[in-house]
Amino acid sequence: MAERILIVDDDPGIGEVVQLFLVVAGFDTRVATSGPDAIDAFHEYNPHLVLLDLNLPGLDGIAVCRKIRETSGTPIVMLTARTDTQDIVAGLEAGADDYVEKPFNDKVLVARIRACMRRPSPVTSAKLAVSDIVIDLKGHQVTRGGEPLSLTPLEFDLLHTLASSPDEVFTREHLLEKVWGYQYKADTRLVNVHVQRLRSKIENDVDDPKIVLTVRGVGYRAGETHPA
Amino acid sequence: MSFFRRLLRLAQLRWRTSLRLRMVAASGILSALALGLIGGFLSYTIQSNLYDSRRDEILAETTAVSRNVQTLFDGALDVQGSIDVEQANAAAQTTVRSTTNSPGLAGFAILRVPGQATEQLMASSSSIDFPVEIITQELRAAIQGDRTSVHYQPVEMPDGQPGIAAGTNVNVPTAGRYDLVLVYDLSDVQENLWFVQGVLAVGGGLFVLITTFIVWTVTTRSIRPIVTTAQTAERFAEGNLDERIEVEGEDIAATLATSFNKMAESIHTQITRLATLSTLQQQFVSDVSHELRTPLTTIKLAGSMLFDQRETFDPDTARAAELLKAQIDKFELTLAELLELSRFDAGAAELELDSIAPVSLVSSSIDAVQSLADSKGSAMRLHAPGGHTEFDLDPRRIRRILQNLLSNAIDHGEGKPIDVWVDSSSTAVSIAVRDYGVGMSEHDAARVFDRFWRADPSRQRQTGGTGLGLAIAQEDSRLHGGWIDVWSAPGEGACFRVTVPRDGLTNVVSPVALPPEVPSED
Repeated sequence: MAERILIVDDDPGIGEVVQLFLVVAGFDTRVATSGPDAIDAFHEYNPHLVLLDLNLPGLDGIAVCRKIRETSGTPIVMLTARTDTQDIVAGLEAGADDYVEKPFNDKVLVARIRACMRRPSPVTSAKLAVSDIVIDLKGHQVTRGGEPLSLTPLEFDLLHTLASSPDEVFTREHLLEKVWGYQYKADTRLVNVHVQRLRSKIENDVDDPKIVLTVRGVGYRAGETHPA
Repeated sequence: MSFFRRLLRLAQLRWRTSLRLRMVAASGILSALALGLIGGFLSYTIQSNLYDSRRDEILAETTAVSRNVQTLFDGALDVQGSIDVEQANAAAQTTVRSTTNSPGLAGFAILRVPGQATEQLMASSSSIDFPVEIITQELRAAIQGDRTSVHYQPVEMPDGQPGIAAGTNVNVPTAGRYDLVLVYDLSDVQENLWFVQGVLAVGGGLFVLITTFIVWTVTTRSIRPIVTTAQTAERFAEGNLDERIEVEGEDIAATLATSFNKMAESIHTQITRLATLSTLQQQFVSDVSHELRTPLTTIKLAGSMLFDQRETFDPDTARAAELLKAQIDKFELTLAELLELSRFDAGAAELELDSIAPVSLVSSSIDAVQSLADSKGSAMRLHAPGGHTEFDLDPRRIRRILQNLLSNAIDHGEGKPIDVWVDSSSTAVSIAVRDYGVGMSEHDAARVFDRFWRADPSRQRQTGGTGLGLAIAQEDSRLHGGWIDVWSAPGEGACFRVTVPRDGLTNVVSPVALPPEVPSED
């Protein structure tokens, strides 16, 4: 069964040509050309990944992204024709996992899609505990005092990566490689924005993080871990 | 001393800068001069009149006195033809006292003319306190020289006041000739004169003050429109394009204000129009670039699919697919650079500074173009006497500049070596890239940073640039507060030098010469 990808772009040309080579690459695809269409298609089609243009009629990409994130952690890759910093950061803050700048290369796009959908689950121990939360690797779930915390797969991977090597300080570049699958130097804002999003979901006090700690000038590491 | 000098300088400055001060001072000085002339003339005339009338009065009185005294002496002769000199003298004194009535008579004397042999001797006599010492021999000689008239002489009274001594000859029968001298004190005349002069001085002072005040007021009123206009123009020049002058009345000042306002309005409109045009133009470039990206994505993806499958096409179509891909890539690069330039134009480009040694950036940039240089047969030679310490630079932008300069040098270097210099001073770091290829004319070198500018066909690019690379490089260097300059001579190659000042310094001198001295071959 091929993995389903929802392509959202107001330009039908792009939708079609992306569809063409994604089908060649072995995916099942559907195209939506407006914001409301995208929301409907998302619920109906239940894709494994969404390619989302930011500039959409009706409901813009950022709003669509936020809407999807309300109910789902499905990976979202933004297609952006704007390289202006604030647009990209706004998209990431709305919950997008990654972004690709137009005009993109077909091979690069396929690589990004595969990296986003490949969620490693090398289960070494069933459960990890960091500070007062418990990470259930098998169940792909994070709980605090038995209450589940809703994380997207990307956020789960980010937390898992940090928690699985509690003694290690991860640089942003290292995290980009391990969590996002980038082989070359990419935009470190991806890491910054997602760490902020993750903290807002799991930390009791975002200004005084206990689970994802910042190591100034280097990167991030997990807080105090103990066997669950 | 220096305080006074400073005060003087301040006054000089005020003098030069204040139109009103000059006008008021000029009118004050001129009216004081005029008043001095008029006052002097008045004072002189009054003085002469007062003195002359008093003198005439004195002379007339002296004449009357002498006539009476002479009559008295003549009548004192008794039948024997003699005279009682003592009695006559006393009577004469009484006559003098009764005949004089003008103010200021300070005394009188009947003085015997010396050197006479007479029957009797009448002793000289005078009133009490008669200042005999002020009667000069000249006066007495004059009296005896012309015995029929009254003579006078201005004298200084013992108390310093001015006076007049007047006298004439009287004949005392049997006792000979005597000088009848009367001395008048003119202090009342002097007092009157001083009073008049005082009145003149005070009146004149008031007049000057009032004139000055009037001029001050009038000047203030009449230069107010000029001051207002000057101040408004100043603010306008500082960029407050909304500044206008309030127009009052219909006089010349109002015309000035109206004309100024018209001019300001016109400038304002022009500037606004140009600014809007410029913003629109920049926005247009930015929009076009963005709008082109979406269709370009489709074209690129479709072209890429065709390119990937070119082996299944016939040779001509396959070649078409290759050309398509190459041109799409170039189009994409041009678009990216156009977008980059539009970011500079919009002022949206920002430095991301990092402390880094310029030499390390140069080395890595040379490494990046090494294979291209090898393929052309150009040896890359780095000379780095400086630039080993850390500078605050945006590494991405500096790398982009170097990438551009190095690949240009390789493109145009005709396989000859490429020299790269790095040096720094306390104020700046400089990197120069020199090729020994065909070079450019001065005319071409001057235009090399223009957008989309292409040199003459002898410098035809082989690796295919966009024509925007050097424009972007120049903008990148400017963003650092620096610049790129160029030297070139036909047949001798070209040298591009980028200079970046330390810590935002201005007016720095590049630590590398342009072109640098070519090192001797080892």
